[in-house]
Amino acid sequence: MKLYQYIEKHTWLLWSALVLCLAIVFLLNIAIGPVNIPIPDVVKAFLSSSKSVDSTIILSIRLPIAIAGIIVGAGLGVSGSIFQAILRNPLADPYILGISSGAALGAAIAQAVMLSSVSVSLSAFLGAVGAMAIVYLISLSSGSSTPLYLILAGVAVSALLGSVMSFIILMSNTMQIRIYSIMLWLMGGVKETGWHELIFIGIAFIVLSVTAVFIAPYLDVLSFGDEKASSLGVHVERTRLLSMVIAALLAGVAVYLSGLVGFVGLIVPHITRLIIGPSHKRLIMVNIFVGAIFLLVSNLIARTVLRPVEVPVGVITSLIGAPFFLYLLLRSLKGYRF
Amino acid sequence: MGKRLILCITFMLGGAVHPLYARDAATLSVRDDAGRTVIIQTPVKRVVTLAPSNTDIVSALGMTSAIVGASNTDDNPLPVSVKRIGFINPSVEEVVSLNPGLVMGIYGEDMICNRLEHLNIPCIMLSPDTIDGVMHDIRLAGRIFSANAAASVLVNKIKGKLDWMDSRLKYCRTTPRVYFEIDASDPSRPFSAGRGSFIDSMITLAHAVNIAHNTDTMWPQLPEEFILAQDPDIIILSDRFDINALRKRPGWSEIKAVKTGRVYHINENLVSRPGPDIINAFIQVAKDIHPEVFENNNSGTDKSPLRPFTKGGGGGINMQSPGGTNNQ
Repeated sequence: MKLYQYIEKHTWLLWSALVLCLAIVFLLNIAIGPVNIPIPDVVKAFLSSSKSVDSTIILSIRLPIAIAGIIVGAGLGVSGSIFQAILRNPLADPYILGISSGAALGAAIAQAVMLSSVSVSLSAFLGAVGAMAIVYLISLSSGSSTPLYLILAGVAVSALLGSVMSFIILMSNTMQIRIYSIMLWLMGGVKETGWHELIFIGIAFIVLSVTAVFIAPYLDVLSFGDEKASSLGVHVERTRLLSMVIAALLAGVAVYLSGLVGFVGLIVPHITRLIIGPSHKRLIMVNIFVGAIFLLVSNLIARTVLRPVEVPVGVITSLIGAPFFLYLLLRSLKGYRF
Repeated sequence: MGKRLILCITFMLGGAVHPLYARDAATLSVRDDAGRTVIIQTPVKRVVTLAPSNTDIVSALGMTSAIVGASNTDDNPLPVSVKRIGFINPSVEEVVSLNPGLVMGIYGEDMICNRLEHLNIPCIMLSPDTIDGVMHDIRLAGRIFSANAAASVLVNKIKGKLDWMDSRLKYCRTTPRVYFEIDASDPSRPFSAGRGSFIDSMITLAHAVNIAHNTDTMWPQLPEEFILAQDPDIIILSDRFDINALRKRPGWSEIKAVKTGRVYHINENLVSRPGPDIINAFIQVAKDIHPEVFENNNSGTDKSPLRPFTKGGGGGINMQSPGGTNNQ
């Protein structure tokens, strides 16, 4: 019996396992960090109203990072599965349509003109979503935004924006000094965020994810191909546009919180698909959990493995994600259908 | 009238030490080298230095005991109790756990600085790019650590050395053209120091012309043929790289500096850390460029340079300190 056939019969088992895993890694992310704080002190810092170094670390650093980690991992997972569906390409990831180079360019511009770190994130977000919009408009001008046009336009726009970024780095004095910090930013790392910002982003994330779950059945239809989908009564263009807006915004939110965390958006949908099969509704729902768990585990390792230096989380996601994915793939090679 | 004036002054003084004012006086608003305005509670008792040049400044003011954290690349002698944190990308959490009253960084650490500011930990970036800038930053650090006297002494010492240098350098009759090589990992496109960099300002101050001065960036990669065409009179390079290897590069034996043997090493740490010791880097650079005005006092005679290649690793300061003689 295939893994997903078994799970199909015991859905409650799957959901309780996911919730339990997420809860555990979330608590671990709060209890363990670069600084050693004994568990009783963690609890005390959390419950006590007085302000101390411990309470700053727990409430202003670890808790926001853990929550942001959930949003980043889940957002990239959902975004990746949407892109893989609308592009009908197993190698698609949230960054494929110019989002990564747009984000990098946005961050570079912000750094070159010396703005604060919030503006780097914001400008990266705008760059990401802007690049995506350009790619869509280019492919649309060919009549219809077919996957082929989208991907080709994405490749071209990525290359263009990438070279503009290199040019800015070469021409700017301040960038030369700050290039190391921008490289680190691009490698991705979940940073602490102010609570107001985080609540706003969290609400946006929930709205986007719920919408993604609702459009999931249409993604199933879309994966048959444009012609079949429209003969089944789906407005292909509108479905694709809406899905892309959601996926781009989710990826943009992840970029805003953590720079460019690689691999999560590519691999998490595949891992999920190996576990529960290809139906998009369940795929997206489970992706939220698998993505969040995967990112929180990576984050825990990234923040503690090379103390006192924090490793960019993007390095860890690939390092542990790739072997794990290969293991899953080899185990169920014959049963795997994209 | 006199009594009223005294009364008035007493009243004003009283006001100045009133607890309310005293608290205000302990809040210092400073502008760092990145142009950020940072509010600091003074005097700072616990400081984290994110770069060796910051440690240099704090130590030179006699405030080493205030350092609770320093970067793990910092080779300054520090007590073992000082927590070592990462360079450029330290863990924010670890810095916070040291409960610092101030964090000091350099350019390139603005991300970490901004993150710390969000957590209400003041963070300043000190990256002076001239000797005046170093003196300014020393004074600034003096105000921050309530060590104004030590800062004045230090600044005066640097000024004394600068004045002594001026008194020598004014006899310069030539303005040699200098090529400064920072990194030659790719000898066909070595890195030099352009306008806006410390090295460029030192060369200019030492009565010479930096051949990379007119490049558009601070750390330009100069094409080899540009250097050959410029034909510099003097080459100064980081002591990480071999002088003989430089001489053996194809075509370089034709450069004036190589032909006349005027290729000098300089200690990389000395020249790359914008702290109090930078004045010694300047002295060494100036002596390399204008040995004739430092050799003896019959100044102004344009003698042909006689100095041989300095041996590898012979960087640092090997001349007697000029400070004692002239700065009184």
